[in-house]
Amino acid sequence: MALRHVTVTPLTRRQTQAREGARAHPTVQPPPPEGGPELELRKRPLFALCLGLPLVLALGGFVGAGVRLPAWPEVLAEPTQRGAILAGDGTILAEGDAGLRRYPQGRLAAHLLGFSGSEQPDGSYGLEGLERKLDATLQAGEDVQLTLDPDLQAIAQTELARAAALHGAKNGAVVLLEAGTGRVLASAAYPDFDPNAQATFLDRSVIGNRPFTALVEPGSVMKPFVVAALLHDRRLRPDEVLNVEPSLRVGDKTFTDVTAHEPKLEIRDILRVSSNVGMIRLGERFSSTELASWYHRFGFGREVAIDYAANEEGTINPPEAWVPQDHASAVIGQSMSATALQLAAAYSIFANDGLYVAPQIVASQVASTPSERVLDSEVARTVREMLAYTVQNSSLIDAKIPGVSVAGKSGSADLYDVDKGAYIDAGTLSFAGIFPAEKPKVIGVMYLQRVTEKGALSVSVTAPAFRAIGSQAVALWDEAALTGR
Amino acid sequence: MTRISQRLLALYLASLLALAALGAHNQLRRGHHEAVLGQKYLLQTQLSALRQEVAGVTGVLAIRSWAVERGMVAAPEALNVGEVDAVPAPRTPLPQGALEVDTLWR
Repeated sequence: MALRHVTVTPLTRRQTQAREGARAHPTVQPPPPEGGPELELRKRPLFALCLGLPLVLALGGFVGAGVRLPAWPEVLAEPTQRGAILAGDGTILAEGDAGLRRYPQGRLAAHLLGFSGSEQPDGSYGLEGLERKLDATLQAGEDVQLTLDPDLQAIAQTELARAAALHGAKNGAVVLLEAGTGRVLASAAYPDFDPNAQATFLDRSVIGNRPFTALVEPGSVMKPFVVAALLHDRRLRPDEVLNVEPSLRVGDKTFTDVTAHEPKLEIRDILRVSSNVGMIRLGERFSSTELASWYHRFGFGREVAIDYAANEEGTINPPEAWVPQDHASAVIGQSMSATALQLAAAYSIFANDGLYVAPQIVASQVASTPSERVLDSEVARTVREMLAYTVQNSSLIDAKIPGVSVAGKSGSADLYDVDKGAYIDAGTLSFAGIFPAEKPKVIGVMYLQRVTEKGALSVSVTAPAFRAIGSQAVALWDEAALTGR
Repeated sequence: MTRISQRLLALYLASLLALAALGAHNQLRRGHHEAVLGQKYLLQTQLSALRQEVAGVTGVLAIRSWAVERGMVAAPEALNVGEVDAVPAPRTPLPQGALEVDTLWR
Protein backbone atom coordinates (compact mmCIF):
# COMPACT_ATOMS: atom_id res chain seq x y z
CA MET A 1 0.00 0.00 0.00
CA ALA A 2 1.44 3.44 -0.94
CA LEU A 3 1.63 6.04 1.77
CA ARG A 4 0.52 9.61 1.08
CA HIS A 5 2.31 12.42 2.89
CA VAL A 6 -0.07 15.32 3.87
CA THR A 7 1.09 18.60 5.34
CA VAL A 8 -1.62 20.36 7.46
CA THR A 9 -1.49 24.15 7.68
CA PRO A 10 -3.82 25.72 10.30
CA LEU A 11 -6.48 28.27 9.05
CA THR A 12 -5.98 31.91 9.82
CA ARG A 13 -8.55 33.65 12.01
CA ARG A 14 -10.05 35.52 9.00
CA GLN A 15 -10.41 32.38 7.00
CA THR A 16 -12.24 30.70 9.89
CA GLN A 17 -14.68 33.62 10.26
CA ALA A 18 -15.45 33.66 6.51
CA ARG A 19 -16.22 29.92 6.50
CA GLU A 20 -18.58 30.19 9.51
CA GLY A 21 -20.35 33.19 7.88
CA ALA A 22 -20.99 31.17 4.73
CA ARG A 23 -22.61 28.37 6.75
CA ALA A 24 -24.91 30.83 8.58
CA HIS A 25 -26.15 32.62 5.36
CA PRO A 26 -26.13 30.17 2.43
CA THR A 27 -26.77 31.79 -1.00
CA VAL A 28 -29.10 30.13 -3.64
CA GLN A 29 -27.48 29.84 -7.01
CA PRO A 30 -29.25 28.67 -10.25
CA PRO A 31 -27.98 25.33 -11.51
CA PRO A 32 -25.46 25.71 -14.22
CA PRO A 33 -26.81 24.97 -17.77
CA GLU A 34 -26.02 21.42 -18.85
CA GLY A 35 -26.40 21.48 -22.66
CA GLY A 36 -25.88 24.93 -23.84
CA PRO A 37 -27.78 28.16 -24.22
CA GLU A 38 -31.64 28.24 -24.02
CA LEU A 39 -33.78 28.27 -27.27
CA GLU A 40 -33.99 31.81 -28.36
CA LEU A 41 -37.49 33.26 -28.47
CA ARG A 42 -37.39 34.11 -32.18
CA LYS A 43 -36.53 30.51 -33.07
CA ARG A 44 -39.55 28.98 -31.35
CA PRO A 45 -42.07 29.38 -34.31
CA LEU A 46 -39.57 27.71 -36.57
CA PHE A 47 -39.26 24.88 -34.09
CA ALA A 48 -43.06 24.52 -33.95
CA LEU A 49 -43.18 24.43 -37.76
CA CYS A 50 -40.60 21.66 -37.77
CA LEU A 51 -42.77 19.66 -35.39
CA GLY A 52 -46.03 20.25 -37.25
CA LEU A 53 -44.74 19.83 -40.80
CA PRO A 54 -44.40 16.05 -40.72
CA LEU A 55 -47.97 15.80 -39.43
CA VAL A 56 -49.24 17.91 -42.31
CA LEU A 57 -47.18 15.88 -44.77
CA ALA A 58 -48.52 12.62 -43.29
CA LEU A 59 -52.12 13.83 -43.58
CA GLY A 60 -51.49 14.88 -47.16
CA GLY A 61 -49.98 11.49 -47.87
CA PHE A 62 -52.99 9.63 -46.41
CA VAL A 63 -55.44 11.62 -48.45
CA GLY A 64 -53.30 11.05 -51.54
CA ALA A 65 -53.26 7.29 -50.82
CA GLY A 66 -57.05 7.23 -50.66
CA VAL A 67 -57.28 6.68 -46.94
CA ARG A 68 -60.48 8.21 -45.65
CA LEU A 69 -59.93 10.84 -43.00
CA PRO A 70 -60.97 11.31 -40.38
CA ALA A 71 -61.56 7.61 -39.69
CA TRP A 72 -63.39 7.11 -36.45
CA PRO A 73 -62.02 4.08 -34.66
CA GLU A 74 -64.73 1.44 -34.91
CA VAL A 75 -65.03 -2.32 -34.98
CA LEU A 76 -66.49 -3.65 -38.18
CA ALA A 77 -69.86 -5.14 -37.30
CA GLU A 78 -70.39 -8.60 -38.74
CA PRO A 79 -73.95 -9.90 -39.19
CA THR A 80 -75.11 -11.69 -36.02
CA GLN A 81 -73.80 -15.24 -36.15
CA ARG A 82 -76.44 -17.94 -35.58
CA GLY A 83 -75.82 -21.64 -35.10
CA ALA A 84 -77.09 -24.23 -37.55
CA ILE A 85 -79.79 -26.82 -36.87
CA LEU A 86 -78.78 -30.29 -37.97
CA ALA A 87 -80.65 -33.56 -38.40
CA GLY A 88 -79.50 -36.69 -36.59
CA ASP A 89 -77.12 -37.60 -39.45
CA GLY A 90 -75.68 -34.07 -39.75
CA THR A 91 -77.89 -32.92 -42.64
CA ILE A 92 -78.17 -29.14 -42.40
CA LEU A 93 -81.78 -28.15 -41.81
CA ALA A 94 -81.27 -24.47 -40.99
CA GLU A 95 -78.20 -22.28 -41.42
CA GLY A 96 -77.01 -18.75 -41.96
CA ASP A 97 -76.90 -15.56 -39.99
CA ALA A 98 -79.96 -14.23 -38.25
CA GLY A 99 -80.63 -11.70 -40.95
CA LEU A 100 -80.57 -14.21 -43.76
CA ARG A 101 -81.62 -17.60 -42.42
CA ARG A 102 -81.95 -20.41 -44.94
CA TYR A 103 -83.48 -23.86 -44.81
CA PRO A 104 -81.62 -25.93 -47.42
CA GLN A 105 -83.99 -28.91 -47.18
CA GLY A 106 -87.01 -26.71 -47.79
CA ARG A 107 -90.19 -28.34 -46.49
CA LEU A 108 -88.40 -31.09 -44.57
CA ALA A 109 -89.43 -30.84 -40.90
CA ALA A 110 -90.54 -27.24 -41.47
CA HIS A 111 -93.21 -27.37 -38.73
CA LEU A 112 -90.69 -28.50 -36.20
CA LEU A 113 -87.96 -26.06 -37.19
CA GLY A 114 -90.19 -23.02 -37.47
CA PHE A 115 -88.27 -20.02 -38.74
CA SER A 116 -86.45 -16.87 -37.64
CA GLY A 117 -86.76 -13.30 -38.80
CA SER A 118 -85.68 -9.82 -37.88
CA GLU A 119 -84.64 -8.88 -34.35
CA GLN A 120 -87.51 -8.83 -31.86
CA PRO A 121 -87.90 -6.32 -29.00
CA ASP A 122 -86.47 -8.90 -26.56
CA GLY A 123 -83.36 -9.33 -28.72
CA SER A 124 -84.33 -12.73 -30.08
CA TYR A 125 -84.63 -13.69 -33.74
CA GLY A 126 -86.53 -17.01 -33.64
CA LEU A 127 -90.18 -16.56 -34.46
CA GLU A 128 -91.59 -20.09 -34.54
CA GLY A 129 -90.78 -23.68 -33.57
CA LEU A 130 -87.28 -24.76 -32.60
CA GLU A 131 -85.84 -21.56 -34.04
CA ARG A 132 -87.72 -19.77 -31.28
CA LYS A 133 -87.20 -22.27 -28.45
CA LEU A 134 -83.49 -22.68 -29.20
CA ASP A 135 -82.90 -18.98 -29.87
CA ALA A 136 -80.44 -18.36 -27.02
CA THR A 137 -78.31 -21.38 -27.96
CA LEU A 138 -78.36 -20.56 -31.66
CA GLN A 139 -77.54 -16.88 -31.03
CA ALA A 140 -74.51 -18.00 -29.03
CA GLY A 141 -73.26 -19.47 -32.33
CA GLU A 142 -73.77 -23.07 -31.25
CA ASP A 143 -75.05 -25.69 -33.66
CA VAL A 144 -77.89 -27.89 -32.43
CA GLN A 145 -78.27 -31.49 -33.53
CA LEU A 146 -81.74 -33.00 -33.53
CA THR A 147 -82.79 -36.62 -33.21
CA LEU A 148 -84.63 -36.55 -36.54
CA ASP A 149 -83.83 -39.16 -39.16
CA PRO A 150 -84.12 -37.23 -42.45
CA ASP A 151 -85.06 -40.36 -44.41
CA LEU A 152 -87.87 -41.25 -42.02
CA GLN A 153 -88.94 -37.62 -41.92
CA ALA A 154 -89.17 -37.56 -45.71
CA ILE A 155 -91.11 -40.85 -45.71
CA ALA A 156 -93.55 -39.59 -43.08
CA GLN A 157 -94.14 -36.29 -44.84
CA THR A 158 -94.54 -37.84 -48.28
CA GLU A 159 -96.93 -40.58 -47.19
CA LEU A 160 -98.99 -38.24 -45.03
CA ALA A 161 -99.41 -35.81 -47.93
CA ARG A 162 -100.20 -38.65 -50.31
CA ALA A 163 -102.87 -40.11 -48.01
CA ALA A 164 -104.37 -36.67 -47.39
CA ALA A 165 -104.59 -35.96 -51.11
CA LEU A 166 -105.96 -39.43 -51.87
CA HIS A 167 -108.76 -39.26 -49.31
CA GLY A 168 -109.40 -35.53 -49.33
CA ALA A 169 -108.26 -34.79 -45.78
CA LYS A 170 -107.95 -31.23 -44.60
CA ASN A 171 -105.07 -31.79 -42.22
CA GLY A 172 -103.09 -34.49 -40.48
CA ALA A 173 -100.01 -35.42 -38.50
CA VAL A 174 -97.48 -38.21 -38.03
CA VAL A 175 -95.05 -38.82 -35.17
CA LEU A 176 -92.45 -41.60 -35.15
CA LEU A 177 -90.53 -42.34 -31.94
CA GLU A 178 -87.64 -44.70 -31.32
CA ALA A 179 -88.50 -47.33 -28.73
CA GLY A 180 -86.33 -47.29 -25.63
CA THR A 181 -84.76 -43.87 -26.09
CA GLY A 182 -87.76 -41.67 -26.89
CA ARG A 183 -85.91 -40.06 -29.81
CA VAL A 184 -88.30 -38.31 -32.16
CA LEU A 185 -87.41 -39.88 -35.52
CA ALA A 186 -89.97 -37.99 -37.55
CA SER A 187 -92.68 -35.42 -37.00
CA ALA A 188 -94.75 -34.46 -40.00
CA ALA A 189 -97.75 -32.22 -40.51
CA TYR A 190 -100.14 -31.70 -43.38
CA PRO A 191 -100.40 -29.24 -45.04
CA ASP A 192 -96.72 -28.34 -44.93
CA PHE A 193 -94.83 -25.23 -45.96
CA ASP A 194 -91.43 -23.97 -47.11
CA PRO A 195 -89.85 -21.83 -44.36
CA ASN A 196 -87.68 -20.09 -46.97
CA ALA A 197 -90.83 -18.38 -48.19
CA GLN A 198 -92.50 -17.79 -44.81
CA ALA A 199 -92.46 -14.02 -45.18
CA THR A 200 -94.89 -14.26 -48.10
CA PHE A 201 -97.45 -16.51 -46.40
CA LEU A 202 -100.98 -15.24 -46.44
CA ASP A 203 -102.40 -18.17 -44.48
CA ARG A 204 -100.41 -18.35 -41.23
CA SER A 205 -102.51 -21.23 -39.91
CA VAL A 206 -100.28 -23.85 -41.60
CA ILE A 207 -97.14 -22.94 -39.68
CA GLY A 208 -98.10 -24.36 -36.29
CA ASN A 209 -96.34 -27.52 -35.11
CA ARG A 210 -99.47 -29.67 -35.44
CA PRO A 211 -98.05 -33.00 -34.17
CA PHE A 212 -96.99 -31.37 -30.90
CA THR A 213 -99.62 -28.72 -30.36
CA ALA A 214 -102.87 -29.59 -32.16
CA LEU A 215 -105.38 -31.31 -29.91
CA VAL A 216 -107.65 -34.05 -31.22
CA GLU A 217 -110.16 -36.38 -29.61
CA PRO A 218 -108.21 -39.62 -30.04
CA GLY A 219 -111.10 -42.11 -30.19
CA SER A 220 -110.55 -45.86 -30.16
CA VAL A 221 -106.75 -45.64 -30.03
CA MET A 222 -107.32 -44.97 -26.31
CA LYS A 223 -108.99 -48.33 -25.67
CA PRO A 224 -105.75 -50.29 -25.03
CA PHE A 225 -104.93 -47.93 -22.14
CA VAL A 226 -108.12 -48.83 -20.29
CA VAL A 227 -107.40 -52.53 -20.77
CA ALA A 228 -103.80 -52.06 -19.60
CA ALA A 229 -104.85 -50.11 -16.50
CA LEU A 230 -107.41 -52.76 -15.53
CA LEU A 231 -104.85 -55.55 -16.02
CA HIS A 232 -102.28 -53.65 -13.96
CA ASP A 233 -104.80 -53.12 -11.12
CA ARG A 234 -105.79 -56.80 -11.27
CA ARG A 235 -109.38 -55.87 -12.07
CA LEU A 236 -109.28 -57.82 -15.29
CA ARG A 237 -107.83 -61.13 -16.41
CA PRO A 238 -106.49 -61.35 -19.97
CA ASP A 239 -108.51 -64.52 -20.59
CA GLU A 240 -111.87 -63.17 -19.41
CA VAL A 241 -114.87 -63.50 -21.69
CA LEU A 242 -117.57 -60.83 -21.65
CA ASN A 243 -121.14 -60.71 -22.89
CA VAL A 244 -121.15 -57.76 -25.26
CA GLU A 245 -124.45 -56.54 -26.68
CA PRO A 246 -124.47 -54.60 -29.98
CA SER A 247 -125.50 -51.34 -28.34
CA LEU A 248 -125.75 -49.83 -24.90
CA ARG A 249 -127.63 -46.87 -23.45
CA VAL A 250 -125.66 -44.81 -20.94
CA GLY A 251 -127.39 -41.72 -19.56
CA ASP A 252 -128.92 -39.95 -22.51
CA LYS A 253 -126.58 -41.44 -25.06
CA THR A 254 -126.65 -44.71 -26.98
CA PHE A 255 -123.32 -46.31 -27.83
CA THR A 256 -123.21 -48.87 -30.65
CA ASP A 257 -120.56 -51.13 -32.10
CA VAL A 258 -119.60 -50.41 -35.69
CA THR A 259 -118.37 -53.95 -36.40
CA ALA A 260 -120.77 -56.89 -36.01
CA HIS A 261 -119.46 -59.50 -33.57
CA GLU A 262 -120.37 -62.58 -31.53
CA PRO A 263 -122.29 -62.01 -28.28
CA LYS A 264 -119.35 -63.26 -26.21
CA LEU A 265 -115.95 -61.66 -26.67
CA GLU A 266 -112.51 -62.24 -25.20
CA ILE A 267 -110.63 -59.10 -24.12
CA ARG A 268 -108.34 -59.21 -27.14
CA ASP A 269 -111.40 -59.55 -29.39
CA ILE A 270 -112.97 -56.48 -27.81
CA LEU A 271 -109.88 -54.64 -29.08
CA ARG A 272 -109.93 -56.52 -32.41
CA VAL A 273 -113.48 -55.44 -33.26
CA SER A 274 -113.00 -52.17 -31.37
CA SER A 275 -116.19 -52.76 -29.44
CA ASN A 276 -117.46 -49.58 -27.80
CA VAL A 277 -119.98 -51.53 -25.73
CA GLY A 278 -117.38 -54.02 -24.51
CA MET A 279 -115.01 -51.22 -23.53
CA ILE A 280 -117.75 -49.27 -21.72
CA ARG A 281 -118.58 -52.44 -19.78
CA LEU A 282 -114.91 -52.75 -18.84
CA GLY A 283 -114.72 -49.06 -17.99
CA GLU A 284 -117.43 -49.54 -15.38
CA ARG A 285 -114.78 -51.27 -13.24
CA PHE A 286 -113.12 -47.87 -12.71
CA SER A 287 -114.61 -44.83 -11.04
CA SER A 288 -114.31 -41.63 -13.06
CA THR A 289 -111.58 -40.39 -10.73
CA GLU A 290 -109.61 -43.62 -11.18
CA LEU A 291 -109.96 -43.49 -14.96
CA ALA A 292 -108.85 -39.85 -15.14
CA SER A 293 -105.94 -40.63 -12.83
CA TRP A 294 -104.83 -43.48 -15.08
CA TYR A 295 -105.01 -41.27 -18.17
CA HIS A 296 -102.76 -38.80 -16.36
CA ARG A 297 -100.30 -41.59 -15.59
CA PHE A 298 -100.21 -42.47 -19.29
CA GLY A 299 -99.21 -38.86 -19.96
CA PHE A 300 -102.52 -37.37 -21.05
CA GLY A 301 -103.75 -34.05 -19.70
CA ARG A 302 -100.21 -32.90 -18.94
CA GLU A 303 -97.35 -31.58 -21.06
CA VAL A 304 -94.84 -34.02 -22.45
CA ALA A 305 -91.47 -33.41 -20.76
CA ILE A 306 -89.76 -32.74 -24.07
CA ASP A 307 -87.01 -30.12 -23.99
CA TYR A 308 -87.00 -27.15 -26.37
CA ALA A 309 -90.31 -27.93 -28.06
CA ALA A 310 -93.60 -26.33 -27.17
CA ASN A 311 -96.44 -28.81 -26.75
CA GLU A 312 -99.97 -28.80 -25.48
CA GLU A 313 -101.10 -30.67 -22.40
CA GLY A 314 -104.51 -31.70 -23.75
CA THR A 315 -107.76 -31.87 -21.88
CA ILE A 316 -109.21 -34.32 -19.41
CA ASN A 317 -112.25 -32.74 -17.84
CA PRO A 318 -112.46 -32.87 -14.02
CA PRO A 319 -113.86 -36.35 -13.27
CA GLU A 320 -116.07 -35.06 -10.45
CA ALA A 321 -118.09 -33.23 -13.10
CA TRP A 322 -118.55 -36.32 -15.31
CA VAL A 323 -122.02 -37.71 -15.84
CA PRO A 324 -122.30 -41.42 -16.77
CA GLN A 325 -122.18 -40.77 -20.52
CA ASP A 326 -119.01 -38.67 -20.02
CA HIS A 327 -117.38 -41.63 -18.29
CA ALA A 328 -118.45 -43.93 -21.12
CA SER A 329 -117.20 -41.44 -23.73
CA ALA A 330 -113.84 -41.11 -21.98
CA VAL A 331 -113.38 -44.89 -22.01
CA ILE A 332 -113.60 -44.90 -25.81
CA GLY A 333 -111.37 -41.85 -26.24
CA GLN A 334 -114.01 -39.16 -26.68
CA SER A 335 -114.68 -36.11 -24.45
CA MET A 336 -110.95 -35.68 -24.02
CA SER A 337 -108.14 -34.37 -26.20
CA ALA A 338 -104.50 -35.18 -26.82
CA THR A 339 -101.69 -34.42 -29.24
CA ALA A 340 -100.12 -36.93 -31.62
CA LEU A 341 -96.92 -36.62 -29.57
CA GLN A 342 -98.76 -37.55 -26.36
CA LEU A 343 -100.33 -40.57 -28.03
CA ALA A 344 -96.98 -41.75 -29.40
CA ALA A 345 -95.31 -41.28 -26.00
CA ALA A 346 -98.15 -43.21 -24.33
CA TYR A 347 -97.91 -46.09 -26.84
CA SER A 348 -94.19 -46.22 -26.14
CA ILE A 349 -95.15 -47.56 -22.68
CA PHE A 350 -96.34 -50.77 -24.40
CA ALA A 351 -93.17 -50.81 -26.54
CA ASN A 352 -90.85 -50.21 -23.56
CA ASP A 353 -92.33 -53.01 -21.43
CA GLY A 354 -94.22 -50.62 -19.18
CA LEU A 355 -91.72 -47.76 -19.00
CA TYR A 356 -92.74 -44.23 -20.00
CA VAL A 357 -89.80 -42.52 -21.70
CA ALA A 358 -90.29 -38.83 -22.42
CA PRO A 359 -89.68 -38.06 -26.09
CA GLN A 360 -86.75 -35.81 -26.99
CA ILE A 361 -86.03 -33.84 -30.14
CA VAL A 362 -82.59 -32.38 -29.27
CA ALA A 363 -79.94 -35.11 -29.43
CA SER A 364 -77.99 -33.87 -26.41
CA GLN A 365 -81.06 -34.24 -24.19
CA VAL A 366 -81.73 -37.91 -24.98
CA ALA A 367 -79.34 -39.32 -22.37
CA SER A 368 -80.98 -37.35 -19.57
CA THR A 369 -84.59 -37.87 -20.59
CA PRO A 370 -86.81 -38.82 -17.65
CA SER A 371 -88.49 -42.20 -17.52
CA GLU A 372 -90.95 -43.77 -15.10
CA ARG A 373 -92.57 -47.16 -14.72
CA VAL A 374 -96.28 -47.02 -15.44
CA LEU A 375 -97.18 -50.65 -16.05
CA ASP A 376 -95.83 -54.02 -15.00
CA SER A 377 -93.68 -55.32 -17.82
CA GLU A 378 -95.90 -58.40 -18.07
CA VAL A 379 -99.01 -56.23 -18.53
CA ALA A 380 -97.30 -54.12 -21.20
CA ARG A 381 -96.26 -57.25 -23.12
CA THR A 382 -99.76 -58.72 -22.82
CA VAL A 383 -101.34 -55.57 -24.26
CA ARG A 384 -98.74 -55.53 -27.04
CA GLU A 385 -99.66 -59.11 -27.91
CA MET A 386 -103.34 -58.12 -27.96
CA LEU A 387 -102.53 -55.27 -30.33
CA ALA A 388 -100.50 -57.57 -32.57
CA TYR A 389 -103.47 -59.97 -32.58
CA THR A 390 -105.72 -57.03 -33.50
CA VAL A 391 -103.66 -56.14 -36.58
CA GLN A 392 -103.21 -59.78 -37.55
CA ASN A 393 -106.87 -60.79 -37.32
CA SER A 394 -109.02 -57.76 -38.02
CA SER A 395 -109.86 -55.51 -40.91
CA LEU A 396 -106.61 -53.75 -40.01
CA ILE A 397 -104.84 -56.16 -42.34
CA ASP A 398 -103.91 -53.10 -44.39
CA ALA A 399 -101.66 -51.96 -41.54
CA LYS A 400 -99.53 -55.10 -41.74
CA ILE A 401 -95.98 -54.47 -42.87
CA PRO A 402 -94.80 -57.44 -44.95
CA GLY A 403 -92.16 -59.40 -43.09
CA VAL A 404 -92.49 -57.42 -39.87
CA SER A 405 -95.03 -57.88 -37.08
CA VAL A 406 -97.13 -54.86 -36.14
CA ALA A 407 -99.02 -54.18 -32.93
CA GLY A 408 -101.54 -51.42 -33.37
CA LYS A 409 -104.98 -49.96 -33.00
CA SER A 410 -107.07 -47.76 -35.22
CA GLY A 411 -109.47 -45.02 -34.25
CA SER A 412 -112.33 -43.24 -35.99
CA ALA A 413 -113.36 -40.46 -33.65
CA ASP A 414 -116.06 -37.88 -33.98
CA LEU A 415 -114.71 -34.37 -34.43
CA TYR A 416 -116.35 -31.35 -32.86
CA ASP A 417 -116.82 -28.64 -35.47
CA VAL A 418 -116.60 -25.30 -33.70
CA ASP A 419 -118.17 -23.42 -36.62
CA LYS A 420 -121.18 -25.74 -36.89
CA GLY A 421 -121.42 -26.40 -33.15
CA ALA A 422 -121.88 -30.11 -33.82
CA TYR A 423 -119.88 -33.33 -34.09
CA ILE A 424 -118.72 -34.66 -37.48
CA ASP A 425 -118.91 -38.46 -37.64
CA ALA A 426 -115.46 -40.04 -37.99
CA GLY A 427 -113.89 -36.59 -38.30
CA THR A 428 -110.55 -37.86 -37.01
CA LEU A 429 -109.15 -41.07 -38.47
CA SER A 430 -106.11 -42.37 -36.64
CA PHE A 431 -103.76 -45.28 -36.25
CA ALA A 432 -101.21 -45.97 -33.54
CA GLY A 433 -98.76 -48.80 -33.97
CA ILE A 434 -95.53 -50.43 -32.85
CA PHE A 435 -93.16 -52.47 -35.01
CA PRO A 436 -91.71 -55.07 -34.82
CA ALA A 437 -94.21 -56.20 -32.18
CA GLU A 438 -91.82 -58.69 -30.55
CA LYS A 439 -88.83 -56.37 -30.25
CA PRO A 440 -90.18 -52.87 -30.78
CA LYS A 441 -88.02 -50.35 -32.60
CA VAL A 442 -90.49 -47.73 -33.76
CA ILE A 443 -93.72 -46.31 -32.34
CA GLY A 444 -95.87 -44.45 -34.84
CA VAL A 445 -99.02 -42.38 -34.57
CA MET A 446 -100.86 -40.94 -37.52
CA TYR A 447 -104.13 -39.12 -37.99
CA LEU A 448 -106.04 -37.34 -40.74
CA GLN A 449 -108.96 -35.00 -40.13
CA ARG A 450 -112.03 -33.93 -42.08
CA VAL A 451 -111.69 -36.58 -44.75
CA THR A 452 -114.12 -35.78 -47.55
CA GLU A 453 -114.16 -39.30 -49.01
CA LYS A 454 -117.55 -40.95 -48.45
CA GLY A 455 -117.58 -43.73 -45.86
CA ALA A 456 -113.90 -43.36 -45.06
CA LEU A 457 -112.72 -45.19 -41.94
CA SER A 458 -109.33 -45.52 -40.36
CA VAL A 459 -108.96 -49.08 -41.65
CA SER A 460 -109.06 -47.80 -45.22
CA VAL A 461 -107.28 -44.46 -44.74
CA THR A 462 -104.69 -44.36 -41.96
CA ALA A 463 -103.96 -48.10 -41.69
CA PRO A 464 -102.61 -48.35 -45.29
CA ALA A 465 -100.73 -45.08 -44.86
CA PHE A 466 -99.14 -46.43 -41.68
CA ARG A 467 -98.14 -49.56 -43.58
CA ALA A 468 -96.57 -47.44 -46.35
CA ILE A 469 -94.51 -45.52 -43.79
CA GLY A 470 -93.56 -48.72 -41.95
CA SER A 471 -92.55 -50.59 -45.11
CA GLN A 472 -90.26 -47.81 -46.25
CA ALA A 473 -88.80 -47.45 -42.77
CA VAL A 474 -88.08 -51.17 -42.64
CA ALA A 475 -86.43 -50.98 -46.08
CA LEU A 476 -83.84 -48.64 -44.53
CA TRP A 477 -82.88 -51.07 -41.80
CA ASP A 478 -80.01 -53.42 -42.16
CA GLU A 479 -80.48 -57.14 -41.65
CA ALA A 480 -79.32 -57.06 -38.04
CA ALA A 481 -81.89 -54.43 -37.12
CA LEU A 482 -84.60 -56.35 -38.94
CA THR A 483 -83.96 -59.60 -37.16
CA GLY A 484 -83.32 -57.92 -33.83
CA ARG A 485 -79.81 -59.30 -33.49
CA MET B 1 -31.02 23.85 -29.60
CA THR B 2 -29.39 21.67 -27.04
CA ARG B 3 -28.22 18.21 -27.78
CA ILE B 4 -31.00 16.64 -25.69
CA SER B 5 -33.64 18.69 -27.51
CA GLN B 6 -32.25 17.53 -30.81
CA ARG B 7 -32.48 13.92 -29.67
CA LEU B 8 -35.99 14.31 -28.39
CA LEU B 9 -37.04 15.99 -31.62
CA ALA B 10 -35.59 13.15 -33.64
CA LEU B 11 -37.36 10.64 -31.43
CA TYR B 12 -40.61 12.58 -31.74
CA LEU B 13 -40.36 12.69 -35.51
CA ALA B 14 -39.53 9.01 -35.71
CA SER B 15 -42.45 8.12 -33.42
CA LEU B 16 -44.77 10.34 -35.38
CA LEU B 17 -43.75 8.76 -38.64
CA ALA B 18 -44.07 5.26 -37.17
CA LEU B 19 -47.51 6.11 -35.80
CA ALA B 20 -48.54 7.57 -39.11
CA ALA B 21 -47.32 4.48 -40.94
CA LEU B 22 -49.16 2.20 -38.50
CA GLY B 23 -52.31 4.27 -38.86
CA ALA B 24 -52.11 4.13 -42.63
CA HIS B 25 -51.52 0.38 -42.51
CA ASN B 26 -54.42 -0.05 -40.10
CA GLN B 27 -56.67 1.94 -42.38
CA LEU B 28 -55.70 -0.14 -45.37
CA ARG B 29 -56.24 -3.36 -43.37
CA ARG B 30 -59.60 -2.10 -42.29
CA GLY B 31 -60.60 -1.56 -45.88
CA HIS B 32 -59.37 -5.03 -46.71
CA HIS B 33 -61.24 -6.47 -43.72
CA GLU B 34 -64.39 -4.76 -44.87
CA ALA B 35 -63.99 -6.17 -48.35
CA VAL B 36 -63.29 -9.68 -47.02
CA LEU B 37 -66.34 -9.56 -44.77
CA GLY B 38 -68.46 -8.52 -47.70
CA GLN B 39 -67.01 -11.38 -49.70
CA LYS B 40 -67.65 -13.81 -46.84
CA TYR B 41 -71.26 -12.71 -46.61
CA LEU B 42 -71.64 -13.10 -50.36
CA LEU B 43 -70.07 -16.56 -50.31
CA GLN B 44 -72.24 -17.66 -47.37
CA THR B 45 -75.30 -16.51 -49.23
CA GLN B 46 -74.15 -18.33 -52.35
CA LEU B 47 -73.35 -21.45 -50.34
CA SER B 48 -76.79 -21.47 -48.74
CA ALA B 49 -78.47 -20.92 -52.09
CA LEU B 50 -76.40 -23.69 -53.65
CA ARG B 51 -77.19 -26.05 -50.75
CA GLN B 52 -80.84 -25.34 -51.34
CA GLU B 53 -80.42 -26.07 -55.05
CA VAL B 54 -78.55 -29.29 -54.30
CA ALA B 55 -81.28 -30.37 -51.86
CA GLY B 56 -83.76 -29.83 -54.68
CA VAL B 57 -81.91 -32.55 -56.61
CA THR B 58 -80.27 -34.83 -54.05
CA GLY B 59 -82.24 -34.04 -50.86
CA VAL B 60 -84.22 -36.83 -49.25
CA LEU B 61 -87.56 -35.36 -50.30
CA ALA B 62 -86.43 -34.85 -53.90
CA ILE B 63 -84.96 -38.34 -54.25
CA ARG B 64 -88.04 -39.94 -52.74
CA SER B 65 -90.35 -38.00 -54.98
CA TRP B 66 -88.22 -38.83 -58.04
CA ALA B 67 -88.13 -42.53 -57.17
CA VAL B 68 -91.84 -42.79 -56.40
CA GLU B 69 -92.71 -41.12 -59.70
CA ARG B 70 -90.66 -43.80 -61.43
CA GLY B 71 -92.39 -46.65 -59.66
CA MET B 72 -90.21 -47.24 -56.61
CA VAL B 73 -91.65 -49.84 -54.28
CA ALA B 74 -90.36 -50.30 -50.75
CA ALA B 75 -88.57 -53.63 -50.38
CA PRO B 76 -91.12 -55.21 -48.02
CA GLU B 77 -93.90 -54.39 -50.50
CA ALA B 78 -92.18 -56.01 -53.47
CA LEU B 79 -94.13 -59.03 -54.72
CA ASN B 80 -91.19 -60.64 -56.49
CA VAL B 81 -87.63 -60.38 -55.38
CA GLY B 82 -84.98 -61.74 -57.72
CA GLU B 83 -81.31 -61.49 -58.47
CA VAL B 84 -80.47 -58.53 -60.66
CA ASP B 85 -77.46 -60.22 -62.18
CA ALA B 86 -78.05 -62.90 -64.80
CA VAL B 87 -75.90 -65.33 -62.88
CA PRO B 88 -75.71 -65.01 -59.10
CA ALA B 89 -72.27 -64.04 -57.92
CA PRO B 90 -70.33 -66.99 -56.51
CA ARG B 91 -70.49 -67.12 -52.77
CA THR B 92 -66.99 -67.73 -51.50
CA PRO B 93 -66.40 -68.08 -47.78
CA LEU B 94 -64.45 -65.10 -46.57
CA PRO B 95 -61.63 -65.50 -44.08
CA GLN B 96 -62.54 -64.33 -40.61
CA GLY B 97 -60.77 -61.02 -40.21
CA ALA B 98 -61.04 -58.05 -37.97
CA LEU B 99 -63.08 -56.09 -40.50
CA GLU B 100 -66.04 -57.41 -42.44
CA VAL B 101 -68.08 -55.49 -44.94
CA ASP B 102 -71.47 -56.95 -45.72
CA THR B 103 -73.36 -55.30 -48.57
CA LEU B 104 -77.05 -55.99 -48.84
CA TRP B 105 -78.94 -54.81 -51.91
CA ARG B 106 -82.60 -54.11 -51.49
